[in-house]
Amino acid sequence: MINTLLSCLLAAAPAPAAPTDLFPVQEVPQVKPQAYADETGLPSGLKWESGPQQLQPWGSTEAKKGGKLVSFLPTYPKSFRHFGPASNDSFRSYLDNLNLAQLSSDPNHPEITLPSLCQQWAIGPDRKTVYFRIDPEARWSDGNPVLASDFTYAQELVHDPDLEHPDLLAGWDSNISDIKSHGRLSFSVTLSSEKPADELLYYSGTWPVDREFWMKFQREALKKDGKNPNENFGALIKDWHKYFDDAGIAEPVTGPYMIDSAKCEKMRKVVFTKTPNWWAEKKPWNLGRYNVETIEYKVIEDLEVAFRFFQGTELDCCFLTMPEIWREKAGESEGFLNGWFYRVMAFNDVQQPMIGMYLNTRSAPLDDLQVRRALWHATDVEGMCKTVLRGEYARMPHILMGYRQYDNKELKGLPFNIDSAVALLEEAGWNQMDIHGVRMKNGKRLSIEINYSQKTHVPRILYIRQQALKAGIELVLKKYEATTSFNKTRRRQGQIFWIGWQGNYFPDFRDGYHSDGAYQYESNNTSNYEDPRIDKLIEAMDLEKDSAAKTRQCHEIQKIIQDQALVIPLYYVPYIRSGAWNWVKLPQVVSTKTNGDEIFEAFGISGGLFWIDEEEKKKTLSAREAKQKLGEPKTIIDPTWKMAE
Amino acid sequence: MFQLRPITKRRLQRFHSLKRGWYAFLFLSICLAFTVLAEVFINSRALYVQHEGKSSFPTYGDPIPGKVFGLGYGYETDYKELQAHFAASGSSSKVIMPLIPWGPNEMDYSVPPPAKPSAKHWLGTDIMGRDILSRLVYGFRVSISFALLMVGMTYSIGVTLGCLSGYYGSWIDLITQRLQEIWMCLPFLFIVIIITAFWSPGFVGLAFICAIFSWMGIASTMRAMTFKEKSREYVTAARSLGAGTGRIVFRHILPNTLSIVISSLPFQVAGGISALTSLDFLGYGVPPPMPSWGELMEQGLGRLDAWWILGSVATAMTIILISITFIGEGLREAFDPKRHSTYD
Repeated sequence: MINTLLSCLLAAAPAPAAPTDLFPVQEVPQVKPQAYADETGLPSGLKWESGPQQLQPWGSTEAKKGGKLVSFLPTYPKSFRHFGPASNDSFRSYLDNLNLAQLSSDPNHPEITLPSLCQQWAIGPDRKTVYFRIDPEARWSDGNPVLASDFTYAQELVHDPDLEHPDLLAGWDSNISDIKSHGRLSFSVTLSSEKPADELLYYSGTWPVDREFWMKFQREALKKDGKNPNENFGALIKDWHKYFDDAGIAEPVTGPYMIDSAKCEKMRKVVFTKTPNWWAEKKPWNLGRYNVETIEYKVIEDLEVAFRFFQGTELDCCFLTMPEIWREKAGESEGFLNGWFYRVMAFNDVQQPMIGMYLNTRSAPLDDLQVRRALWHATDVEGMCKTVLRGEYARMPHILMGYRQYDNKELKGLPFNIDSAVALLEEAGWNQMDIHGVRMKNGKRLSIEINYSQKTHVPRILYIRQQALKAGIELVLKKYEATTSFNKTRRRQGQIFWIGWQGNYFPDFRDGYHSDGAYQYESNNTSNYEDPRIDKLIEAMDLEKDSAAKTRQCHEIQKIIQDQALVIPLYYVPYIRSGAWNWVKLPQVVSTKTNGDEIFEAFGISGGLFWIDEEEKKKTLSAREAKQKLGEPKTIIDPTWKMAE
Repeated sequence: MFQLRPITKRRLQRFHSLKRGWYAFLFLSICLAFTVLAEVFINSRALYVQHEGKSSFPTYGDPIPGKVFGLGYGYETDYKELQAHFAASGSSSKVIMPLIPWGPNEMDYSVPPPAKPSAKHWLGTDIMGRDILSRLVYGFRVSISFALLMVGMTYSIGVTLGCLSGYYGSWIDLITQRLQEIWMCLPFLFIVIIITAFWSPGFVGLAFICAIFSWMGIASTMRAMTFKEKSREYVTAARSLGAGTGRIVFRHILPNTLSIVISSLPFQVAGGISALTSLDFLGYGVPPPMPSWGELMEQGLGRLDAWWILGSVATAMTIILISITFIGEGLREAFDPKRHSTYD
């Protein structure tokens, strides 16, 4: 019903008028080749590219600079480092976003590569190496210039025995074979295998480390301990991360915002401020963006609690994708009905997160393929979407939705069918029943634990539980705090993991399905699965240069994953929804085509579109104080980037 | 024949004469009896089905698949559907449903939850479409079993340690006292939350964790009581007759200190119920979908617009806790040592 309502709404709305707050098309600044005069060791005949000559900025001309936005994040970060022990938690994506990538892509036209930290790039004749020229204006937030040596230093750090971050090393080594400096501002990244051109650019994306900063920091740390400051020069000192964490500082960044560690409060809030004199402020792709001076994230684990904070104006915006929050909590709340805050919904067209029930294939009874398949047949995702989620989410047929040609559209998943589930279970020997209607085999109950972390998922899991019970499968809910739950998942301590993985632009199965990860203590091979066929295909995919062959291999892997029932895909959401108080303003096109996270995303190439209107804030707050209606309830639905059906 | 000691008899008579406590006791006993037999009154399973001349009583026992009654599925019969099916087909088969035909975990999404109180759901439904009355009653069963289990464990630990340290004195007393003092300083709820965040305990596990952090009060009372009783003549007499430590502590001293244990019992039970409710409220209690008051309360606070959620559970909780307190007061009055004991 809701679906039809929504489509009626969309159909009735007139075609969106062309936005009037767009910047005119901008000229991309010319590259000055004299900055790279000192280059050495480059192969001859390199064809340097520098992206489009003209560009349509996606920020708004009406944006005002300054002000503060308060939002929330679920846990306080374990560290402010983006490498080293305890750095791979949910905060990592924020840290990564604080730095600019070497290259980026236009979020509304993802096929267009844009300069970012680097101004020019060229693909080497070996089809494994990409050459980069750093923008001579690029600066770290501490004022140091970004140099080629910062990129080679990152490589040294990753391979340093004192780094204590084996995952990072493994991921790095499987992708990058070498980073070489070719001058003060030129360097090359050589990948471990040949790849098609678009993937070469994508996978050669790495990150620099402010060498000056780390050198100085380590020297001071040693000096403080009364040691020779030049000991261990260049390499990491032992326990470097403890020195860093104890110092309570943050790394320098190249992006628009930096962590203001002095204003952060442990377990309470993380504060980011605008990088002073940010070097890329005037670039055409940054026009009208990153307007806010300070961004504060309060630590609020629970979405419903966050919404209550939002209602109390302690948060400026709130994530409203969940149906019950969007419809009842926000839609029927005083603030919305009085026109003090508005709801906004933006469609997108982007790779969907792989939300699913990941089955640990080494934990009985899930080690039995028939039980896994039966569980899939007994999982009523469609029913859950229709009832609990009010028809606003859709069942995901397979895990690789929105991945362009790589998406194997023939795979439909196993349908909800109790009879098939029962037949499979009986075949597998689960013939007896206990008093609660749970199947038994040799005195063992068919009771499977499901590991989750978000309270808001409970109604969904319970619906699935009730339906699965019809096939005689009992799901036992195990809730853990978000970080514990994630660690348990990575250690495969549990049976079913209710989790969503965010994928990359290109499908990557090595992390999640290669047998390398199956025996490690911590890995992303959540299903703990080992299959030489998948290994072979993954390795072939890594080496493949032909896009069509790669697509075939990718489809084949997806088929094995489905046949082996490693993941039961759940749902996908082709839009993002939020709410914000009137003083948080958005451009007329509220979001970008590829923004899959949050409309009020602060960082990254799609982020920073909003701005704060202080006058409006005064007006809204006084109206709220006086319980005065400001206007009709406002819901913005922006279908600009709706996926073609 | 089982015979009460005169003093106990007098105490019980006294308790009976204290009307407030006595009626509270009767009320709670009825509630307990009702919750034990809840399946007969509130259940998704039918009380009685007559189909093709055969009678069945599905309330207790193995689930009966729908096929048995001519519904085309192999899983447990949906009796409400069966009733409708029989009515529609005009067959002579019959289904008698309990007074409230909703199980505590049954979800009703026919009206978008939470649904207002109606003839269908007397107290409405919660945010997952589950009948609130049903969840209240089954939740009471969970709460009271939890409280009793926890109190049992608490007393086993507390009474044993208290008696031992009071009886032996010297270094045993010293160690248990210090342990108790340290333990008392640990913030109970926080510790339990931290433990449950890493280890998801079941029902018994949770009761055990709670008991481990709440034995100190009763232990210190028991220590003082044992200390006092130890020097009384009857203990000396028992010892001179050759009774061992175990016998003296558990057969002689313990019965004489029982009034303290008994009169603090209701308050401990109330504490147990509140502990579980607060843990559930915070999301660290019993695993879903076990019916729980704390979870209802949490839902209710999240949805103040759906007043019936918070309203029902708050009322139920208040009534139960008040009656337990009344019983406690009555017992304390009845077992008051000033009234029955003579001191030499």
